[in-house]
Amino acid sequence: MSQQHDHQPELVPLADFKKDQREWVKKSMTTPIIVVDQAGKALFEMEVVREPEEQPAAAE
Amino acid sequence: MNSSQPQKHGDLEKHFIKVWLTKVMTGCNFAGLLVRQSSGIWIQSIHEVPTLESLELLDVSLDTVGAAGTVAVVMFPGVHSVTQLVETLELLNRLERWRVSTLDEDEDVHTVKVEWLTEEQKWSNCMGLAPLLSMPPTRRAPFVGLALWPGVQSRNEGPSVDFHDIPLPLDLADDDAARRQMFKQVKEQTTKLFAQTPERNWREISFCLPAYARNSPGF
Repeated sequence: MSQQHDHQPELVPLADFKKDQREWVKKSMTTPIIVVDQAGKALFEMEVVREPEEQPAAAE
Repeated sequence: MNSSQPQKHGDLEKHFIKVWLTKVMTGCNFAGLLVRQSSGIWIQSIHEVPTLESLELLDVSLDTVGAAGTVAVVMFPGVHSVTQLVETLELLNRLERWRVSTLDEDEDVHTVKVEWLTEEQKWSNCMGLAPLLSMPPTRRAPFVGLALWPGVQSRNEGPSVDFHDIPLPLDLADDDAARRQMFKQVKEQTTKLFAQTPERNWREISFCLPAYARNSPGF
């Protein structure tokens, strides 16, 4: 399983995303971004996947 | 709207995409290497069937990701059929910075090349991904997608860029033996996966679609 971000995804209205797209994409490098329409429906999301985290062995 | 909806909407897709990218993609160590280096892999998932509007937004995003020196993967979990995939490619082909072309007319498959024009004005060869048996084994992903290097040219020459232009992590960049060993492993693993597939230059090919897709009018 890959590493989960510490941050909760940030919901961004499409209009705001379009207004400042480069900054939101830069932000998605550190925090998952979910772009939503006016009704709050998720349109697309972006994030960076980094090093997989080793899972500790389950105790018997 | 229920505020938990967006998070739930993409959870399963994200899980599949991440596991596939980090554990399976291309059957090689290279993708694993990419996710281990600090820049990681930037993923955008477009949930619905792509529209011209959603695809137009990709240019600025890819420019930004390229400037950050990160590999980009655009996934289309809303594309569920060959027809929808072809329609998506047709839409991309209508955009100024995308180029979709037919490579050859094989009897069994329709091979398609997808390229995106970087900010540096180089055509980036896109690696297509799709859950289709007509795709090369290493490109059979849980969802349709495009993986590409949106950054600057470093090793290639001429008008194109591809994954060979990705900056290597410092430990590999400085260690010829380790780099050679990794590429040897990649080649061996890929050869195994391609054992039943005719030899050809897969880097040039983005998608191998079923033969019936060749009647598509848009490219």
